[in-house]
Amino acid sequence: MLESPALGLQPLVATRVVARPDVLDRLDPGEGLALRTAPDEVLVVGRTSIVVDDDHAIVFDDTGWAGVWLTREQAAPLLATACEFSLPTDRPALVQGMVAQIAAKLWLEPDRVLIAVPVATAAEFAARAARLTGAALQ
Amino acid sequence: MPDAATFKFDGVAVPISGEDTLLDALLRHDIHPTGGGCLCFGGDCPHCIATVDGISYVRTCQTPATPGSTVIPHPPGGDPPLPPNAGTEPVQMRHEHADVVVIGGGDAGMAASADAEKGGKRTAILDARHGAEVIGIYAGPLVVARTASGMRHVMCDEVVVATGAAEIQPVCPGADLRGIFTVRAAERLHSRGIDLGTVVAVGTGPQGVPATVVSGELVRLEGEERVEAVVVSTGQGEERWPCESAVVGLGFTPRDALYRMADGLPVSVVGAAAGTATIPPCPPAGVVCPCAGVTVEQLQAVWERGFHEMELVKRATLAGTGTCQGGVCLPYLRSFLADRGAELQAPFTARPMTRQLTMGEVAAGQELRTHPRTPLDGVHRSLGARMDRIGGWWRPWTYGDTAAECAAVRHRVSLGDVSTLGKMVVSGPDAEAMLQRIYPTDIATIKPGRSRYALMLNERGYVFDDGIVARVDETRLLLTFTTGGASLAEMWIRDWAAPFDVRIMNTTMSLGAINVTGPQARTLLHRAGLATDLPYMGHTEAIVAGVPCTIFRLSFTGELSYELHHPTDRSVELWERLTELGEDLEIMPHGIEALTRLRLEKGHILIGQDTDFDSTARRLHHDWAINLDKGDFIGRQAVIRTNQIPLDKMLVGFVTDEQASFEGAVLWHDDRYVGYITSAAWSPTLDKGVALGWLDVVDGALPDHVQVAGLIATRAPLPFYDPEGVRARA
Repeated sequence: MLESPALGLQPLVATRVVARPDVLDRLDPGEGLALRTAPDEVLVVGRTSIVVDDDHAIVFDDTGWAGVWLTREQAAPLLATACEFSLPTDRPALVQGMVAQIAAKLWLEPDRVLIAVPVATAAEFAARAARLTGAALQ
Repeated sequence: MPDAATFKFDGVAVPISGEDTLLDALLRHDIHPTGGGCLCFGGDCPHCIATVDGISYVRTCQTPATPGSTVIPHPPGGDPPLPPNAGTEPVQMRHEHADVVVIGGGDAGMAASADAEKGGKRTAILDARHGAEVIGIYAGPLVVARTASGMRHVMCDEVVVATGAAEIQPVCPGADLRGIFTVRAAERLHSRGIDLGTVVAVGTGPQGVPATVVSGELVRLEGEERVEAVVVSTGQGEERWPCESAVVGLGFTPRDALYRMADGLPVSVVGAAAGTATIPPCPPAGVVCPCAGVTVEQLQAVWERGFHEMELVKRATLAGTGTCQGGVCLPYLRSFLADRGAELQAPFTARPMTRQLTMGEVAAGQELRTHPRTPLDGVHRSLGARMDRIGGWWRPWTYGDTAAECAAVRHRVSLGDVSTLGKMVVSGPDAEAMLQRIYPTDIATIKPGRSRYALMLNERGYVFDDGIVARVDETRLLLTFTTGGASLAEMWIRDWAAPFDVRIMNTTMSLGAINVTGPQARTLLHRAGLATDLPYMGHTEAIVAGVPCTIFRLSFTGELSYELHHPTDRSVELWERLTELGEDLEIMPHGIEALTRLRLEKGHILIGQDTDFDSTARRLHHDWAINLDKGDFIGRQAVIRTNQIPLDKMLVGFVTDEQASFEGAVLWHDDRYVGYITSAAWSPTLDKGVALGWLDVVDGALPDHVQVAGLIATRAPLPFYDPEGVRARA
C-alpha cells in the first residue's frame, strides 16, 4: 500500500480532533505532537485516544496519514525544488500547502522537519520527491 | 588558432577564442547568424537568434560558446522546424524565496540590493549576464527565470527591476545588411579583438573604437550583403560615408518590459530602466519590426484604416509580438503615431513571457493531477486488475472478466472497493438543523441507526451530488458523497455551516470501504462474525473479521449489500479475510465496469454521467427524494418554481434488442433530434441492451420509441432489474 522507500514515508499514528477552537486551545497532547491544522481541528501525531472537553467533538484515530522526519539538511533539496510557498523563519511552525503539487503538511522544528501527507497520495509524493531531489538544481 | 575548440555553425566548424559568446566567435569569422541586421549584444533584438543544440530562438549574443555545440541558422523569413525529438529529460524547476528580488546586476541593481540588505531583507539578484534570464513577473509576486540548469521560481515580497536600457536600432533602407552594430556592440567587439574594419558611426560614437563619427540624420545604409556606406541627411543635403562597419548611436529606450507587465504588484524600477526613452525621428521607410516584418508602409496602411492607438496598431500589424517583444519596434511605433498627429503614447502592454521558452521549460515542475490510491490499490494490482483513473482516483476497472464479475454479484457474492466514496462526520447541537438546510430530504425523520438516500441541490434546484445521510444519534450524523463530487460537497457543506454550531470532519481519505454484495453477502458476513443482521438502510458499528467497521446496509448493485467502512490500515486484512471466508461461495471481486453495468440494470443514476448542469430532481424522476413540506432548504424555491413549468425533457430508461447503444449516442424521433444516451450496456441478466438517456418531450409527450445508432430503442420503466427491490431488501 505504501511504497515510498526513497523518502521513507511511514504510516503515522495519529488522532484527528475537530472541536470548538477554545477547547483545542487547551488541548493537552501529552507525548503527542499537536498540529493545529485549522482553528477547529488538530492532528495529534504519535498518540491515539485523545480526551477532549467538548461533548460534540469528533475524535478520530486516523490511520490515513503518512509521514517522515527529515533533518533540515535532508529536507532542504526537496523543499527548494518542490515547495511552492514561503517557509516561515520562526520555529517551530506548521505550514500547509502544495509540495510537489501534492497537499502536504510541514512541521518545521529548528533542526528537523516532519512531512505529512495522506496515505492515499504518499506513494505518488515519494515518487515525485525522489525524482525532484534526484535531479535537484546545483 | 589551430588548437581552438570549435562548434558547428550550419555544418562549418567555428573556432572559439577565450570566453567567446557564440556571436563573438561567429563575428570573429565574419559570420552573421541571421544574415544581416544591426547587432546589439544586449539581447534586445532578433538579429542574432539561431537554433543551438536543438533549441530555437536562442540569442547567440547571450550564449557562451561551447565546444561541440551545433548552431543552425533559422530559415530566412520562416520559423525554425520543430525538433524531431525533444528528448525525455524534464527541465528541472526550483522554488526559492526572498524578501526582495533584484532583476539586473548592474550598478543600479547592486545599489538596490545593498539598500535592501541594509534593511535586513533577504535579496536575490537575477541577471541574464550571469545565467538567470527573467522571463516574467507574475502575481505573488513570483519571478520566473530561466537558467542553464532549469527554471527558477522565486517568490518574494518585492521586486526591483534594474535591467538598464536598450540601444535604439536603426530603421531605414539597408538596416538588414551585415556589418551594422550598436555602440555597445562595437565597443565589445573591439575589446575582444574583433576587427571591424573602417568604421563610420552615426549619432553617438563608440568609446575606444577608431571610427569616423558623422552627424546628421540616418537616411539609409548602402551595400549589397554587407554595409558599404552610411548615408546621412544634413542641412546641406545627403552625405555618403563609405565604410566596412556602421555603428549607430541613436539613443536609448528603457528595458522596462518586466516592470510594465507587473501592474498592481509591488514592483519598482530603478536606474536606466526607469529613464526617459529617446523617441527617434519617424522613419520614412524601412522595416520597423524585423520579427514580424512590419514596414513603415504597413504602419501607414493601418493608420489610414483608423488604427491610431498603440494597442490597436500592435494587433493590426503584429508589430511587437515577435521574438524581441518590441525591443526594436516600440520606439518607432511611438514616433510613428506621434508624427501622424496622435499624442506620444505609452508603450504597449507587456506580458510574460519576454523570452521564448521551450515547451519543456514551460512545463518545468508541472505534475499531472495527483490521483490518490485506495488502501487496496496493491491488492487490485496483484489480482491483475486493469487500473484506471476514475473520479479522481486509481480504481480497478476490471479484473479481466466483467461478465463473470457481474454474475458473481447477481448470483453469489462479490467484493468491491468503494473506499473512494466521500465520507464525512457532522456533529453538534445544530447538526440536524444544518443538514435540514442543505438536504432536500427530511433529516428529522431519519432515526438513529437508519440512513437515507439524499440528493444535494444548488440554489437553482439543480442536482450536483448524491449520497447517504445516516444518523448515529441526536447530534451526530454520517454523510457519504459520490467519489468525484466529494471535494465539492465538502466545500458546499462548509460554506453553509458558518451559522451553525457543528463540527465537521472529512474522513474520505482516512476510511477504507468495502462493498460486500450479492445474495450470499449475509452468509459471508455471518461467517466473518456479524452476529445480528441489519435492516435495509440500517447501519451499525461491529467487528467484521476482526476489524472494527461501520456497516451500512444499502445497495447500489441491486443485490443484498453491505458497505464496511473501516480504518485504512486494516483494509487489506479485511479484504483478504473476507476472500478466504467466501472461497467456497465462489467469491470474486468486481471492478468499476461491472459496478456501472449492475447499477444501470437497477436504474441508479451516476451523478456527472447521467446528470447535467440543469438536472432537476423532477427531470431525473427523483421527485421522491424532495420533501417540500419539511421547511426551507437550499434550492426549495427553485424546485417550487420549476415544478410549475411543463417538463421539456426527462432522464428515462431504454431497452434495445440484439445489441446495446452507447454513451453519447444521439436519439432521433422522425428525423428530429430528441436527446442522447448517458449510460448504456448489454445486460446479460435481462438479455437486452439497457440505457439511460435524456429524452425531449415531443408534442406534449415522451416518445415511446426512438432511433439510436441504427437501433430502435424502446422507452422502458425503471428500474430494469428487480423493479420491486426485493433482492436488495432480502
